[in-house]
Amino acid sequence: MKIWRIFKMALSSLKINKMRTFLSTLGVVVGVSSLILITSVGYGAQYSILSSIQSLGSDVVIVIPGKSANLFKSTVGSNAMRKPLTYDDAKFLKRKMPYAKIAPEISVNTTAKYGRTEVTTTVVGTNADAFVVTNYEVAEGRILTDRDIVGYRDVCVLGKKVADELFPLGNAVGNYILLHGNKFLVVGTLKEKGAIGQIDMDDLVFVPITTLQSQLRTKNVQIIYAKPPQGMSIDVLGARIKSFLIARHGMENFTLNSFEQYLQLAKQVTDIFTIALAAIGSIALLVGGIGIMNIMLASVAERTREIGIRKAVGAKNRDILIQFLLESALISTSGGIIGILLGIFGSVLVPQDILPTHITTSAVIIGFTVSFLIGVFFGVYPASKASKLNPVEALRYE
Amino acid sequence: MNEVIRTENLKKTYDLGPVKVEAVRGVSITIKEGELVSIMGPSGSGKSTLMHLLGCLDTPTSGKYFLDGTDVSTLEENALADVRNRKIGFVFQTFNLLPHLTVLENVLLPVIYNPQGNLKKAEARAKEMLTRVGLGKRFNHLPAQLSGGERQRVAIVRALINEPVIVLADEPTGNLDTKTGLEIIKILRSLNEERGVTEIIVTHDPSITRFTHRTIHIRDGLIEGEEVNEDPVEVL
Repeated sequence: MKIWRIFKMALSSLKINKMRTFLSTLGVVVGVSSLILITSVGYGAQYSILSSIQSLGSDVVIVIPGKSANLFKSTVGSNAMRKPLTYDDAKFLKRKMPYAKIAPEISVNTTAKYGRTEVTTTVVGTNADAFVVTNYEVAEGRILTDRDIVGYRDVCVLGKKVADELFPLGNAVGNYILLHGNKFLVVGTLKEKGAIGQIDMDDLVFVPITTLQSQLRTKNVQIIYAKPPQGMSIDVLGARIKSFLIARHGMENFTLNSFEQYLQLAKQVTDIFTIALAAIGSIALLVGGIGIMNIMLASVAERTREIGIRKAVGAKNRDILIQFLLESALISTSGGIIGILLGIFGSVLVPQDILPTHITTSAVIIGFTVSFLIGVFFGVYPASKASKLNPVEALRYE
Repeated sequence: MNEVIRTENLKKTYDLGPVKVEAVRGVSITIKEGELVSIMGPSGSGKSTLMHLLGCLDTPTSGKYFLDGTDVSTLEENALADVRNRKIGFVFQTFNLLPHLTVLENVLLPVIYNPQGNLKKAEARAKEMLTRVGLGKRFNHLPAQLSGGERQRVAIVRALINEPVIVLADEPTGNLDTKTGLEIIKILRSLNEERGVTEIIVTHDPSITRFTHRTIHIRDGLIEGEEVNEDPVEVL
């Protein structure tokens, strides 16, 4: 038995009935291409979520008011448990841990106006550390300083998008804008940062937290970000924040999170999402496999005489088995290759701003391997049926 | 001369549930190297079953069958396939060529299944033999493009390609007109005379027995008689 010869024989048998071969590959083509497309959407979602979280910096501890059991339920328990976090808490933490970057934050949606241009945006009251924590880079001018904070100054730093909208010509620094009707001096603009989840990090205006708090008549903050110094893990920093805040509040009425946790959660969610979608895609593949088995069984019946002739001139059962297995594997694998190409093509066609797609090498390899295995698996029964034919009866077959 | 085939009390019984059909009921024959033997019998005489047994396409229910000195009556399927491949050449009534293979590919089919086969050498030999039987310009034709006589000549070359010890021709002229049939017999006869190929021709046509050295008559699964033809007629 010469395997290359048998391979060529299988190939030429498939060429004889081109239409049938094409139709039997179709099931696998649909299955594999949908699998590739589906996983590319799934991984695309994961990829964009993860990369945006990572760009923010996953080494940040997040403190939010209220004790909660998980990331999505914010507050449980009595009123005492709902004691808010304040700017004083943040200052206290900074005093205790001068080595860490502590960025309290309070934000409000409002309008920003320059001349006749008015845009809706989010004003974030924060401090100088915030720009380090969130890895912002300055485009023009400067960021907020401690003197801005202490002095309750009416100054602001514009995110890229706000700056572009209010100052299309790019001369933002040194001009005054109106935030909710109050006059603020633009001292700096930021470079593009992109979106993190649903939040457009470029559609923000940063002002001193003291200024915003006094305008809102509150001492509270919504969130405190803390970034450890080089060499300290977020777990250590988190533990210290926890003990300091418990000492100050007398109870644990706040919750510590980290982007690391969000990262894990986002990965888990998108993984489940991808697997669920892939499972749906595999149903198509399964149907494709059954289609191949059906075609191969018909082919074996039709070629009974051929099998008889081959056996008469010395083909062993194994030779016939391999020939038919190769035929079904060829059908399914070529279907798989076409499916992979179509899937990649389809994922490129998907508008990336609506549904980002990401083709992984593993998806391509799995698609190829699975399509090959489908052919072998669903080919075994017809092929073994062919190989076990009795030569005398097969030769008599009309 | 060496015995190519020797059978001892060969029997084949088909078990069809309630009835048992004894197709071959004890046949003992000997075929020597270089012989051209015809096996004659009416349809239903068991000559087809005997042919399948001699061709190792089927195994006997009892009895012994020595082919080229080895007992092949108890071999399993794959070993029988090997014996068919290397020691037996078949020529069938219905030619049994693969319709999608060319003349040359059909002839080389047994070589593909021969572990010791050398495709290059076999191809040269195939072309030489095809040319000798008048198919020198038909190597790449498909069987459908050939006449019945031409197809049978392809089948004869295929039967010889692995240099078997015996060629079994089962009603080789059955699907051909008289003139074409005689041409085929002539080729089989010349192969026997010029190359010393041992041949068995199974037939129900008495006119063919004139050209063979010996005729074995089969009836009801038994040898009815045997006649030796000292002076076989030349095929004209």
